[in-house]
This record gives sequence, C-alpha cells and structure tokens, in this order.
Amino acid sequence: MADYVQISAQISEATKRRLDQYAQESGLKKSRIIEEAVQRHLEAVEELPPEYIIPTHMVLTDESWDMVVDLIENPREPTQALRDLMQRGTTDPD
Amino acid sequence: MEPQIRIRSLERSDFRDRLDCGEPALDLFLRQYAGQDQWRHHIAVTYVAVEESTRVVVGFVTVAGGTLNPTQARAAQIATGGYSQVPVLRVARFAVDRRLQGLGLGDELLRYAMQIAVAQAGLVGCTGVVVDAKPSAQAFYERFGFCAFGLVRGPLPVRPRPVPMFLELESIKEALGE
Repeated sequence: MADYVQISAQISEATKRRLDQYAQESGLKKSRIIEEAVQRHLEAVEELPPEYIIPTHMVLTDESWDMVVDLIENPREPTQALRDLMQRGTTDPD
Repeated sequence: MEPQIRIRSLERSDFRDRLDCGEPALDLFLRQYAGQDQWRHHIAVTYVAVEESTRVVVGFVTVAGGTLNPTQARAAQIATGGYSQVPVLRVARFAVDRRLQGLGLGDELLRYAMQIAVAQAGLVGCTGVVVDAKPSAQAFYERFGFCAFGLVRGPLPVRPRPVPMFLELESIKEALGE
C-alpha cells in the first residue's frame, strides 16, 4: 500500500471553488482528484510532443534517391568554403 | 575580455534557459526537450556551445543517426548489390544566440557535426550529412556543397517546413585532407 503524506498549498479561490464543485458532483475525494491531477501533469510534461520527435527513417523521391546514390558513388570535390571550414581550428568531437 | 566558448555534448548542469536565437521553438526545444531526447529517449544528442565560466549555452546543434531510403517502387527496381538504404547523420536542430550570430559560431557548430559524421562513418557507417535547413538558410548550406532533396516520408514536423539537404561524406573527408 502506498504511503501517504499531507501537503499544504495555496491555490486561487476560483480553483478551490471548481475543485469543491467537482468533488461534490463526482463523489470523489478531493485528495484523490488532486493526486490524479498532479500525476497527469507530471506525465504530460515528460511526453515528447510530435514536433520534437526526430524522424530517422527518411524516404526520398525517386529523383532524389538517384541523386544521393550518385553523390555517394561519385563524390564531388569539396567547395572552397567546405575546405576552409574543415581545415579551421582543432575542435574534436567528444 | 571575450568569454571562452567550448563545444561539447549537453550536460545536465548547463544553463539552457538563457538562449535567445530568435526562434522561440528552438529555444523551447533546447530548454525542454533536448535533454529528454538525449538522456531519456536516446534518439539524439545535442552538442552545445557554452561559455566556459558560466555554463550558459549560446548555441547548439542536435544530431541523430538516420537512414535515407528509396520508395518501395524504386527499391523494387534496384539491381542486386545496389543500395537499399544508406546511413546518414541528421542535423535536426541548429541554433545560435542572437548576440553571437554572424560571428562564426554557426560554422563551428556545423563543422563539429561534420566531424561527428566522419567519426560515425568509422564506427558504424555513414554516407553523408543531412541538414534540415530553414528556407532562409538554404544558401548558407549550399556554400558547403549541400544539395536539396525531396522527401516523401520523414520530414521534420516543424514550421516553416525545412528544406532537407545532403552532403556526401567523401567530400567532407576530402576537405579534411583524409
């Protein structure tokens, strides 16, 4: 059985009124409502929204696939900007 | 005195809430989701440019392994021995604080990501780097040889819709003198 502790928190009168009304209408204990609300909040902030997921499987249009394969098989000479970039400094990935 | 800036992987004690890159979604990503991607979901790693004395993040690049694949119809036409998919390093997020934009920090972060791709090629295989360029930044990547390509699946779900671009690894290695 879970251990229970008591907490005290200041909340707005409006929220308190809504809590009282919901508890009365639903017949649920206020402590249960509060615990579930907190748990759901904590779960929600740990969820990764879709816009922050990084797709790793990329399917290319046929024309683009052929282009990429050609670049892999027949690599180009690096541009001067790329040469300058890669030969600057000595920062190594850690 | 100019603050010393170092690039390394994100650490929990870094100050991630002070970045102002001009795009709130990227600031939010660093503040709230980069750590989750890295430590909880293990789907990407964020490399940060930090002021060494304060640990304040002033720029970052988030990278993940990925694969480029043909459509099913195209795959059916590929002869035996041809590529059925190719591994790449995907630069999924990239930002520099407004105070430091235009001073070369973006170049440094991109170079760091390319060095990771070279290391990845030696460890597990990598044929190139994919960036998801903001439309306004496409010319920045084209200078380095990145080519825009079209995706039918797997674009980053962000707005404005980024332009995926590819640079082959051999070109990067050649530029490194390897």
